[in-house]
Amino acid sequence: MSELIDSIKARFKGKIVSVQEDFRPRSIKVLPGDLVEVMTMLKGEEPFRFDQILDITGVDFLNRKPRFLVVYILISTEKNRRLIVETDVDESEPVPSLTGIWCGADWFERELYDMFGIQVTGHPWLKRILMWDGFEGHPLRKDFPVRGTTPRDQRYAPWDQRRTREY
Amino acid sequence: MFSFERKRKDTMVLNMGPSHNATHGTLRIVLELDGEIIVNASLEIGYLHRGIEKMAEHRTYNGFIPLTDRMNYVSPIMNNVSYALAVEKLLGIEVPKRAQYIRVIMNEITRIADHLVAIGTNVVDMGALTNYFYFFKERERIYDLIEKSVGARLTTTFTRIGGIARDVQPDFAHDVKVLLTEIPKSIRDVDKLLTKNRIFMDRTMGVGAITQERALEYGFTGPALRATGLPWDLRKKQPYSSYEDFQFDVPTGENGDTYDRYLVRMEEMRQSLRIIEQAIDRLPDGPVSVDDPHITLPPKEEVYNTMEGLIHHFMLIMYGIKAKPGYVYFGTEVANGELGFYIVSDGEQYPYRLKVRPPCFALFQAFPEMVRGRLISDAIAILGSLNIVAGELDR
Repeated sequence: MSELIDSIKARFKGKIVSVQEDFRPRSIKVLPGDLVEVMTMLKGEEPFRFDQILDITGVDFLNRKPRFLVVYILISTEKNRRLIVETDVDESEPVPSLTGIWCGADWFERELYDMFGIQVTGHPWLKRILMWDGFEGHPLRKDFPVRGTTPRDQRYAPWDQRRTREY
Repeated sequence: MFSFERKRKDTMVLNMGPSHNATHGTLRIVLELDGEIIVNASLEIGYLHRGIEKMAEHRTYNGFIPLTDRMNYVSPIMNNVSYALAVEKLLGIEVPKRAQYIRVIMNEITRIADHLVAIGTNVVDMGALTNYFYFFKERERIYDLIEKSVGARLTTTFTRIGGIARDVQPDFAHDVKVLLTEIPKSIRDVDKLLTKNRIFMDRTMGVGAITQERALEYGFTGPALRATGLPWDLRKKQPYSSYEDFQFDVPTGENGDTYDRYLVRMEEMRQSLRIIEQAIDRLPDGPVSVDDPHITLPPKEEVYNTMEGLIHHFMLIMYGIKAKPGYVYFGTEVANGELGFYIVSDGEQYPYRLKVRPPCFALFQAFPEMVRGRLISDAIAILGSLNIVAGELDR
């Protein structure tokens, strides 16, 4: 068992649901309610110092309950190590926003919402980022079809009514 | 989705893009202006979204490699190598030394090509056209070499899981050495034209400056982070693909502005040349892919003449590589920063989930903060110095 996981376990007694050490980087799983507290400490406290959030993403396990796994990929440039923090959420369950801890989490959380439809509470402006406004469905869910077309209305900007043309 | 609210009543709104000749790709920036000073900026991305991650869930591990070419189309080989390394980490294999060295050489050559484009287009947006021609001449040389050894200029599909597609041509070392003598001349020329140029310095010094703390919070990696003074380079800190065998320095800046990003890129090109020189001198002999019939295709003679070869070929083509259930995240240092792949496997021939972590995504997020209070012409300079590539940004 690694030194990092030991110190995390000692620091967050009872908050760690499970630990995976077989894969790289190692990962810990916490409950969505504990996420902000754990992340704040992982960023600021001495033995951890995970100063960057590299990515936030989700995995859709369609027939599992709870359905989604939300993955936070952290790196510490000071200690030169990585860690993955995971949390399980169900379809209607939100995850808390981390924009208060790392401002860079903003777009990653918007992408998480766009692609999986996972609500992020406390996000300053939770809107679609890669798909257009008015798109139906969330493309990276497993029940979203791979093939097919979605008609798109030709509205370029909310204030520009002249170019509005419905298909 | 896009929304824009004016912060003040007396301002003017200016739209840039999605098709604008300074964006070098399809992204949209809306600027709120007070005279020529930017009060606020709003961004819209997603114009080049092709759903690569969704497609990956229905392709074999090798079948995804052509899609990685289409992410950062300025340096496609680096994407190929990065993805192959991530899957190899998932499978728990290591490719032979020769393949690693060839990967390093091609990686560094494309890093130079990427920096040539980044600097060349950045200064051409600022009105310095000559440097662009000096650099694109060298880029053409690099692309000729890539075409000769890989077979394509841009859509390279250079790697395979467990090695590279085929060995390089016999006179590869000679071709690379020609590059090693020619590229420094152009770098020297451009260095003389730009680095101490009063106009260029006035246009770039202090423009788009970001502090190290903010850069880290935003998730900056690569030249943009190193320009703030942090010597963070994954090739040094977490070596992969035999990078620990080579001597090179990690250049850093001080102020994190456009000028420092330019200097870091220039120095990185020289360091890349150093790495290539060492790698080509010490290029080992041997196979270029792992000897595992479940991962790499057998040679054609075996397929036609032996039963086992035919079966292995058939099984790989029909069913693909199967990884054990699990996950991996692996990041490598590409020209813009850390390109990472998060792959979840459920034991089948397709990845269950594949997430690309593009370096541009984090960089572009900080753009409104960097342009606030600057002029429109500064916004062009900052955008070019961040080297946003839409194919990677939107995937």
